[in-house]
Amino acid sequence: MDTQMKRGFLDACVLAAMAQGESYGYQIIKDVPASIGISESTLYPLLKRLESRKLIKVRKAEHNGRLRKYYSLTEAGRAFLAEFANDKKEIDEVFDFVERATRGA
Amino acid sequence: MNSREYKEQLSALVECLPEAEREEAVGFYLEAIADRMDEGATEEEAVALAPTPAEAAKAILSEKISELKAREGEGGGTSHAFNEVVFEEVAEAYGNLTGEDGAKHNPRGFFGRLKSRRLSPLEWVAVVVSSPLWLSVLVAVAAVALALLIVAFALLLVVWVLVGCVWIVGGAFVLSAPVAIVFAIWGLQIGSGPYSLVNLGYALFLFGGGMWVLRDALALTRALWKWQKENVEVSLHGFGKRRARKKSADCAADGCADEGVPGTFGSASSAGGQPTAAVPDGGVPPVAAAGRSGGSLFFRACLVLLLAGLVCVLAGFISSGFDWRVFLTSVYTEGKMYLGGAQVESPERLLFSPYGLFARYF
Repeated sequence: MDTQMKRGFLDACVLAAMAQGESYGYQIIKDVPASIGISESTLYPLLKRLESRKLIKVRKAEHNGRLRKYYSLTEAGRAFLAEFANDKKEIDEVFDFVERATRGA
Repeated sequence: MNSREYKEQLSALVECLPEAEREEAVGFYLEAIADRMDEGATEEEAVALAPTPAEAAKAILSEKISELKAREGEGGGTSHAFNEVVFEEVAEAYGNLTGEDGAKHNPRGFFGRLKSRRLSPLEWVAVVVSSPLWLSVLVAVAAVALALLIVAFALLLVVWVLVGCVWIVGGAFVLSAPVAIVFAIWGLQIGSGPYSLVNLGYALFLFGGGMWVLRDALALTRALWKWQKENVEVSLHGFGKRRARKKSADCAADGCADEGVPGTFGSASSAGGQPTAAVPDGGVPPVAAAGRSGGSLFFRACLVLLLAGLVCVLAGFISSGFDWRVFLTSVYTEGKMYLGGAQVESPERLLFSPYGLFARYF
């Protein structure tokens, strides 16, 4: 997938990885679709930005004798995801248009 | 590479960040390494699957630059000062990592580029050519700053000397009280009740007043010391610029209150009959605070002693038939000793009598 397009989907994908409950860094990396391709280097700044926008909240808890950070959605984060899902129709229209135009070419 | 080496390398690359942020950022990457190990990877494998320290540092610093730029956009005094210091260091570290010019991320003006020595060749030429002008102005400004510094230190010294005087006055009052007690005993020994009463009054007054003054002196000393520690040292570091700026940056990063503006040392003040004390602006007056925490009992006791002393002196004066000589503690003249105007028949019998000493030397 194109990098610019990936960037648009990243926020939603990372937030969606927490939709079913809190998650942690490595788990989010595993959960986000491979097609998006996310690494720690991408995820760290992204989580910081989502946190500063108050879309996610963070807590620390002990795991295997070490502290692990758990991320979960805030109400604003859920609203963001809902809005993103609402955009699907418009995105589909764009894809349909491109597809039709390409076919006709 | 093991995770300890990974941590060391990454920490070194993001050393410019405030400690808390650095630990948080490095911790994020170490956490993922530990999670991979939990899944069964060896330490070396887990580290190999993680971004290299350079990649991780690049992401961390890039994010920090974005954050600082956003803050700079928001404006505001403290955040702006914070931005400039950390931005400079982060941009430099980022530039070192990526090979990109740090200035690309830093939209500062001429002076900003001068500070980071990133002037264009033409600008360097202009700096050198105009040096006779700006150098002389710089020397003049430095001389004025030095003079102001000397004046400030002289003023500070004067304030310390004044505080020292308060200590001396308080100490002298307290130490004089036992002497007045001896005079009161002498009054009893020579059968002069009024004289004894007046000197007992002196003793109570001196002790109560002296303790009050000493407590004030202590409060003044503490307030002055605190103010000096908070402001004078910061100002001194300001001349070395980097430490003070770093402190302010760390402070801003830790989210603490803005301490950038040094407080001014207030003049002595008095309220509600409480003793006076100089306090840093915005602070709680030390003596007032002491008053709330049991100090008021102390001052009430001092006040009682002062009043009791005055009452004793007045009572002694009245009972003497308003003979002003009761206020004369002791007079030694022509081999005779007088207490409260009355000659002492056997001065050598007085408690701690100094008569022998007087007789030998005067």
